[in-house]
Amino acid sequence: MISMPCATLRVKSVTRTGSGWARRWVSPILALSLFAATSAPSFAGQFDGVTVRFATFGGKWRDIVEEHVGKAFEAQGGKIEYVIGQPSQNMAKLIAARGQPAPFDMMETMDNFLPVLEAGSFTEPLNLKSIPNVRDLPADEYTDSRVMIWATEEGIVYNKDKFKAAGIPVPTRYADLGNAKLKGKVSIPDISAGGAIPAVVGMAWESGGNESNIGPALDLIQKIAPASYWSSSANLQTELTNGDVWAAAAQAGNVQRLDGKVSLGMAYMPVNGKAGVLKQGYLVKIKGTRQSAAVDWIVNQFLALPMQLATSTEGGQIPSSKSALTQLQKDPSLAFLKLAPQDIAGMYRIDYSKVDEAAYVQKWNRKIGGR
Amino acid sequence: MKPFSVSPRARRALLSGITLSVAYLFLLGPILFVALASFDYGQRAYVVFPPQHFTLAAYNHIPSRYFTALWFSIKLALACTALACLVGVPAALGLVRAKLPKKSLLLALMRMPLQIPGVVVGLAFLQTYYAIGSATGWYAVGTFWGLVIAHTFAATPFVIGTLVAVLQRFDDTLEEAALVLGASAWGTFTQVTLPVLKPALFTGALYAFMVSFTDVPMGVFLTAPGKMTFPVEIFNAMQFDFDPTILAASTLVTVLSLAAVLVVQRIVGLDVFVKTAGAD
Amino acid sequence: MKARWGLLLLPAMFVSLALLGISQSVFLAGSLHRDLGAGLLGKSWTLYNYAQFISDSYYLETLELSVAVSVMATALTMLLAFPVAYIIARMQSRWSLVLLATTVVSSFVSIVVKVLGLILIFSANGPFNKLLMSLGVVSEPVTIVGSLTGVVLGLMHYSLGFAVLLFYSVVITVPRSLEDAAEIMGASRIGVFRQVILPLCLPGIVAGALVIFNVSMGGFTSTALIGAGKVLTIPLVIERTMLLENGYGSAAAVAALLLATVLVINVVSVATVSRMRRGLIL
Repeated sequence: MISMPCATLRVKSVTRTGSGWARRWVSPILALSLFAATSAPSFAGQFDGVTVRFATFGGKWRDIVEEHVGKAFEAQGGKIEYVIGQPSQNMAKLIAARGQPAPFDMMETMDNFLPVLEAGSFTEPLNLKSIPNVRDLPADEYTDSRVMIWATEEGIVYNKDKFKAAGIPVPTRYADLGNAKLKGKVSIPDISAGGAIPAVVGMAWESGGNESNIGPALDLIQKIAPASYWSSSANLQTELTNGDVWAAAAQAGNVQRLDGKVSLGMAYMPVNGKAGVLKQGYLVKIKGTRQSAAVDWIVNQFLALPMQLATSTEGGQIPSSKSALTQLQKDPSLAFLKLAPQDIAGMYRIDYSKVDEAAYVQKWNRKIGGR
Repeated sequence: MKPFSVSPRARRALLSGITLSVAYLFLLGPILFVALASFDYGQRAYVVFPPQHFTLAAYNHIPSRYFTALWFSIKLALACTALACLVGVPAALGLVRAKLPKKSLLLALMRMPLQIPGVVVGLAFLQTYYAIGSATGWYAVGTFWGLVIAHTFAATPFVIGTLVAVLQRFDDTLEEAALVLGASAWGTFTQVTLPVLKPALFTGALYAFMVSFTDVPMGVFLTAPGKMTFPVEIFNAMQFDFDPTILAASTLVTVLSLAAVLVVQRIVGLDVFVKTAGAD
Repeated sequence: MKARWGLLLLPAMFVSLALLGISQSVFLAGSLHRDLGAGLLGKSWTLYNYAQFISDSYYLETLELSVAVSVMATALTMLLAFPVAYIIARMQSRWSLVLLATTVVSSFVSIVVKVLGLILIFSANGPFNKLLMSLGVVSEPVTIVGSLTGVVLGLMHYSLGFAVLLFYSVVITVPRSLEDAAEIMGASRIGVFRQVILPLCLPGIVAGALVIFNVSMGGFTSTALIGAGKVLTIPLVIERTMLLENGYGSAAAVAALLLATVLVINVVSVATVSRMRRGLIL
């Protein structure tokens, strides 16, 4: 908006012949101030001079957020500063700052962190009245303390070509990863990875355990003896594309992100009568923020159609907004995702009241990290 | 029939050649591979090797904030190196020369920061800064100086360690002779001690710079938007999706440091640093 | 004279110890409290965390693993670095500068990138495996990811460049004339090495070895990347306890024990070596 007038002014000062620095600059400055004065309403966005610090994932995700949310906020005069890190790292920053000014105003987090956020009273309520787009979400996906913005669909991703060439059937259970033909070609998420809890809980249910008893899952993992434990999406994607890994317990988004490089298939495992596991992403407002209204506005922008569509088209996740889901169902390239409401409802949601993450880590370290 | 005999000189040269090749292949191999992989920008999601196309596209796409972070990292590392030498040189001299009880304990304490995992250092300083902040109101978290102090903590032992290693070899009778002959303590230091220490000092300072310039774990917790270091930017980029621009950015840094070394060689001559006066 | 050196040391030592003490005390003080979840620590002082550590063999095994891997990495690094440093130090040509400069440049590359390169080289379709398979040495690709070998190789990358430069600056202080004299006296190359170079450089070698050992014990990034979750050394366990379990108390206790162990190893090594070299003040 502002760049066009500047361009014209610049042209004017260049074509003007004559000496004198002052003469060159006086008219552009005058014109600019006139312009600013007369168009004041369209410049003074409601968030002029407001900076919101947003804790989120790095890499391409940050670019996606900037494109569909950040720019809109800038159009209102504001600025988003991104505090990048894994959710666990950002959580550690929040914990270290307990009782002091927090290092950010809002945070993108995941379902497994909600209990900690609550126990530590790190968040404060959102003003849902300022977030009209929540009406497009199913009622159970938002409260005034957190709003769901996306979910990932977890199961097994597998290399279709390698499976076909080796004659391996499409996986129907997690235990299928123990197929002899897949020896040394399987990757399971490390306990520190985002996809860890869905995979572990899924495997637990399959082997006769559940959220409170993951022993059977760890036994299954040991039996499968994976080649590696992936710790980040980048890590997993490198393994999938250089052929070191043919199948991995991971989320469907990898299919989309590696589209064109590796032909990946997605299989959803039965978990406690449901198909596939859902892992949810949320936005929360951090306690003590001084930009409360701006945070509400940004949350609302996250729920608007452009960002919600982008979570799938650019990230391979599924949006929470019903209208976005409806629109995406028409996209054939997203057929590997479950986008119909009844299919999504048919996915297993982890009962985090029964998850003791610290205990999981301890058990994991001993069972898997030992020699 | 005489077995094939090689002259001792040739044998020595061969052995040297093999040792050097193995060592430098190991040291440089990974860096070269990454450089080669940076020329393949076709795929956005993973590292391709061997590169299938040759393109400099990745270099064009390096986000500007990487360059901002690079400049920030250079300034940070320079400050850290200066402080580390300021503290490390007197400490090393004193440790070796002074008559102190429990020297091995002191030396071990000086070396201690080396083995504290970077994550622990980062979080420890984060907690300390918040504690100081609640007491004084000054928050060092996410500031330039906050990072400098933490990095100096981690870097000083390198300076001390290198200097101690060389000083222990050093015969101080030369210094005593100079003093007896009338040189001042400072003069002795600059004319006798310093020349011998030059390579060690260079090494220590270099590694202090490197510790700060390449640090990730401390930076993860002590940086903030606008005060980001280059390695942390790269590390963050690697977390979500693989981004080939990081290969390009890292290769760029390698090339820049090569250029810096060449410039120093041209202007000052690295001989100044690596040869010691009178030791040969 | 000696007293003056002591004075010089005081302020510097004070700064070093202050940094060490202040930064670590806040963190380590947490080890004396119980974890209440969500990063909270209990109010009262207790040795619960330490009792857990001692009674649970898991932590002791992890410590053992860490020491083993670090000793391995230190030994290999030194075996590679010292001869290289010696060769460069005795080189007559300008190549010595090139090699040193190359070493310097290689240290500016982040360990993250170096490990990525290592993983690339050793991946299933990478050059290393291609070579081995074409030579018929192995029929299946060999992988270093998730293995102890990989972790050791990663740790070596932390210190190799530094070790070469450090040992170079130690060897360069030994006049070549000494070696030449020994050779004239009839000593073989091995003899020269054993009886001239080694004894003279020993304190420097030991000091360097301890630096490398310490760095390896604290090594986190390379182990995290190459270990692929299968090899958990103490730094990784500490990080997980802090970030995944929010257990700052127990993490601090483990960190304190790591500190104590390495301190003891350092002191004992130095004391042993100094006893071997009677008369040398360390």
